[in-house]
Amino acid sequence: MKALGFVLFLAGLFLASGFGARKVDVARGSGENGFVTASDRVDAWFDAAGMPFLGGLALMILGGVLARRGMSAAQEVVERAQAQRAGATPSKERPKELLAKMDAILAPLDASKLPGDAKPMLGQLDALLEDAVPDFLDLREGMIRQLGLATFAEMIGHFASMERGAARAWSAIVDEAWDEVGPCLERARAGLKNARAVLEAASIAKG
Amino acid sequence: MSATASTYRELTFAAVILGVIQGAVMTAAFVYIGLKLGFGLSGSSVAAILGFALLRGVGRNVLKIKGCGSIVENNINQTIASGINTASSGVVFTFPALLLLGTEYDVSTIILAALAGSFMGIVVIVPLRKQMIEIERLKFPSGVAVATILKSPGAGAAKAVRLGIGFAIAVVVTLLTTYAVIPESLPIGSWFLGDPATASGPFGLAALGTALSLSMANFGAGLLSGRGGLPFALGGALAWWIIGPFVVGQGWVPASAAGGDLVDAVYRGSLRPIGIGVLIGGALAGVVAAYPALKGAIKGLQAAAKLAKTGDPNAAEELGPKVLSFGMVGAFVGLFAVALLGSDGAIGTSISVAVAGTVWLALAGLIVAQATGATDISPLSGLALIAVTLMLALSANNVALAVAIGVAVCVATNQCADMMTDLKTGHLIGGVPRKQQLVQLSVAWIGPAIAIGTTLLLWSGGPNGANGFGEGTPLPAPQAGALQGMVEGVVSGNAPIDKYLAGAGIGGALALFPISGLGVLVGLAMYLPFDITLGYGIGCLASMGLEKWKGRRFYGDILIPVATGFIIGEALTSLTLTMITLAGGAS
Repeated sequence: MKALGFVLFLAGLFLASGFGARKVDVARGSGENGFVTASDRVDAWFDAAGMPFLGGLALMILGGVLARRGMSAAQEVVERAQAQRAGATPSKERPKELLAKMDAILAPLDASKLPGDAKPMLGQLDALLEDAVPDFLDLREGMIRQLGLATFAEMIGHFASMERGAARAWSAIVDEAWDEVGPCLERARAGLKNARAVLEAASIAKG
Repeated sequence: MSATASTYRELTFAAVILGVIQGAVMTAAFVYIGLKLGFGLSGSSVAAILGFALLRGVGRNVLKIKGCGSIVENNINQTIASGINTASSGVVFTFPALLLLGTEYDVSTIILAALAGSFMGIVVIVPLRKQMIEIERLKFPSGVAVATILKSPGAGAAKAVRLGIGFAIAVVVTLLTTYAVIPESLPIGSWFLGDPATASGPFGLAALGTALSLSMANFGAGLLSGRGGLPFALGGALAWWIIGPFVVGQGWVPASAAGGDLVDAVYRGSLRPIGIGVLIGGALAGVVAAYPALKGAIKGLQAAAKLAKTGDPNAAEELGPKVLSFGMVGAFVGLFAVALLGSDGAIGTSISVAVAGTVWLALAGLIVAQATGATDISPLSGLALIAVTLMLALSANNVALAVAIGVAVCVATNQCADMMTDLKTGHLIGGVPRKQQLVQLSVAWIGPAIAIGTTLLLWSGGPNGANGFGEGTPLPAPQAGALQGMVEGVVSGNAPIDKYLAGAGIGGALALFPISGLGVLVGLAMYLPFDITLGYGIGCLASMGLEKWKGRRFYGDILIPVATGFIIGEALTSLTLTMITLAGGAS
């Protein structure tokens, strides 16, 4: 179904774009003194290319719907198979696993040990922001499918709050603004906790 | 970040003053560059680098101000500087057309339009921050580049060296292309043609159109975008390898067209107008598709505003909905006043122009912010052309009013792109979005005034106090010249409305495909010459391949600093060379 959707979509895109691009000259229009109005131009183009263009649009819509359904189904099969092969966490559990990993990075960070621990703390924050966060965001499409856009938006808002808190803690350490680091880390932990809670609640609601 | 006062410097007097001074100087300079060369520049990277030199170097080390020049303080400085400077392109692409056309106008109406656009651009885009930056995760390559500069004091020597290598490569390539040692673009397809000047037919067009831009900034933006930017490159291939040849094969271009004339006929007659339509349709469909998230974002703004009332000064991360609503109403009233003044008090026309202007402005802002977020390329002039076309239709060819609204739209859309790029930078370095939004709103009035004043000053530099720029002068004002030609075309009934509508239909249908933002990316690819799209696409492919081969850390440790060096290196070299050329010409 996915392949069929792709083919129909591309064929439709070709037809619609090709005939949409047809240039039609209108020598004399219906306006005063033969002035060419916008509707003259649209009418002339539609007479010359309208039907194949609409046919192309219809194919794009049909193909798009089929591809969307096919991709969701195929993605789930692939994710399940990959998880089984690797003996890893089932794909639905992967986001939770990554959030727990982030929690394990953030939880031990102690601002009272600054400035002594500045360098290792920067390293931990780098590991969070440059490795764990992108890994989690790679699952974005799958999470939207699982959670729905509204729930995903709520969860990712908290997650982004965690990112900003961690990024600000990183900046504050570099700038040696030690009193700023603790509240930023608190903020990051709170964001992460809220994101995990939304994900957990959504899992329970979906059974 | 906490209820207790922090000593961490962010929104400070020094950052505001430095940002305003840098922004004002850059606005005047960039108006001149825009009239001379026809393109705009972003001052973010320049402001960030100068910010380090002045805030950190002078403020902290010489004046001994404790903590001066922090990463987040410098971010406020660059936000202000680019927020002011952003008006230069908006004004210079549109307002000079009125002067070139010789149409009577009232300068206060133009200033009011630019001011309304400047404020409205910010207030319409702020509620979309969550959608674009947090949910869609748009890349905003320039925003990432500026964040990399801001973070450089803590990023380690190795990353600084990599940034320096990228910078040096970009400087060398830019110098070589500027002085024509190597071409700006490699005409790859033409290598397969006997005589490119006489090439015709579908294959001739595909070959003539296939070129590779050697812009390192373009390649760097592709490197930063990775997989997300790939549909943009595929859109270019669709336009130049399939649609264009199909149009030629069907005999829809003059039979005698060959070589450059053939490319011009297909690009200007078909691909560019249909690309603008696809952009519009894609953006509209994107809004519909993202409705649940947008609704959530607005609710989030309201919830955050309530939380702020509990006493935590940083609880609300964004400007509250009341401030945004107030700004929106104020800007709409400004636009209505522009319409009223420009139409000699015709209430009906004024209402329709103000409503359509506001709706179009919001949509155009969304398109430009999305396009900039995905590719770093902004279809600004095309959207201004549409705005003027629309307004000419609504105001019965009132050119002065239509161009005034065009000024508002152009300034606003540039504000949208700049605000969102700055917010992406802020997200990456831990800046407070509300503070960035607040400073950008506070200085939004400065840029339009300077840009319009500079334009008038340059215009009055001609013989008898007029005609200081335009064709045949040292300042040819190419973008304004294009708008002038378009206004004359619309007034004589030649606007390609059919292409815009067909494109909008295709853009809407593209949104059904399960890749978000596809309509905007494909539309932008059709709108641009293929050499830019191809160079960018190769950057995307290289990024994907290297990340897969070397792993995720390679992207963060190597690709980001090198690509940032490419973008900054080309921008600063171009700016320096332009200044040298202009100084030479002036003397």
